[in-house]
Amino acid sequence: MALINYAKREINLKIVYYGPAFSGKTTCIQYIYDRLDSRFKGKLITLATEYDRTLFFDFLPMELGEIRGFKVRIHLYTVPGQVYYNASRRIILRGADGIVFVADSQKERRRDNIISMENLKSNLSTYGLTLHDIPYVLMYNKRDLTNILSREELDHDLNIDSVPTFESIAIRGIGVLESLKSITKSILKVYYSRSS
Amino acid sequence: MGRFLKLGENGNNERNISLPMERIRIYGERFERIKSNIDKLLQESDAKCAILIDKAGAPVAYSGDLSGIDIESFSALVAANFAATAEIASLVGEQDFETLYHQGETHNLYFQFVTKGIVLAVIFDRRTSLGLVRIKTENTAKAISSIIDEIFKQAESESSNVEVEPHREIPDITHDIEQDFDRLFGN
Ligand SMILES: Nc1nc2c(ncn2[C@@H]2O[C@H](COP(=O)(O)OP(=O)(O)OP(=O)(O)O)[C@@H](O)[C@H]2O)c(=O)[nH]1
Ligand SMILES: [Mg+2]
Repeated sequence: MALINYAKREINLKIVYYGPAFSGKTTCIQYIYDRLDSRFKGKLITLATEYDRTLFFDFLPMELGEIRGFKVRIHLYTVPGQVYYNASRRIILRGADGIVFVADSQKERRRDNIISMENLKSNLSTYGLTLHDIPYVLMYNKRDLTNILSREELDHDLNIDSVPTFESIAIRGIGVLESLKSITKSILKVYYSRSS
Repeated sequence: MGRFLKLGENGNNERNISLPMERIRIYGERFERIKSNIDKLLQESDAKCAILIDKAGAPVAYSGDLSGIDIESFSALVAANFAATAEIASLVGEQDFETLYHQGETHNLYFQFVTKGIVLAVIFDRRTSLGLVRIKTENTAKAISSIIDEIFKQAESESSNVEVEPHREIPDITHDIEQDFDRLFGN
């Protein structure tokens, strides 16, 4: 749910990083935070356990700048991937404008990716939404490891809608900004087509 | 949610996205009315400041002495916290979760549900009392709630008009975004 304030000429967008536990969602948002020019970033908030697993969410506000007379603000969130934190995932998904699904490329995580995607669909449905109602992109993360699924296998499991996909190594920042840029474009295209 | 606008095809590798209708569009006059309701609340209750927060955790409008408060972080945390507490309440069978109060050493926080996932957060100190803040906040929430309802009603009627319109040309904003990203990440 984008908040479009014509009085203040502002658009607020919410992007949620989703995916199975340990896939690299927090690493992505941390990298974005580190790379952002300090003039455009807010505080990075991470609500995590003492072992760095996301407990509720990570939050990073950033200011994209002015596009066609509107100041665009983007709020990035990550959800906790661990299965039993589903109530938290549902809450954070509320009002999302776009999703970056971070899959773990490792072979032994194949099932977890699929379960997480099913979980995403089921949580969206509690808000009356399907994956067809919201822009999303896929990150195939941890491409630096050896025992990994091929791109085709990951596409087969997760990319039923032929959305943009990115092979990434989040710990080195590879593919992180590209996927953020891609989802931002997809969301803004939807909104600008309605407000121009 | 549940009703969507259909958009046209927008080129390669992108799907036909239908847009969730429940985005909030706030125009000048209604924004001013929301803001003046918040101003009035602060005057009448002697609270320090108040922030209206949408269900996605973004600040919609605010007023008062906000010095030292990171408004965006505050809003994100309040929205998540309020939603989480509402879920906790429903686990014990409480369906109508409306308010949340936190008493601190110098600052007290009072959160009031408005409508459609929107929350009004009020920060106050010893200059006033919880009783007064509670009553005034409730009145303000009612007033704002009817403005928000107007906004949603208008969006609904607009969207039913829009659906019969032919799809408009989608402006190419790709270039703008490329530039913005370059600037943000300094390359
Ligand atoms: N080898 C490798 N490790 C990665 C990569 N991305 C993240 N990691 C590591 O994977 C682990 C989990 O990363 P997080 O970012 O915390 O994962 P998460 O998805 O936020 O996990 P939850 O919060 O539990 O859902 C960390 O030890 C990261 O350093 C990558 O591209 N390659
Ligand atoms: Mg995490």
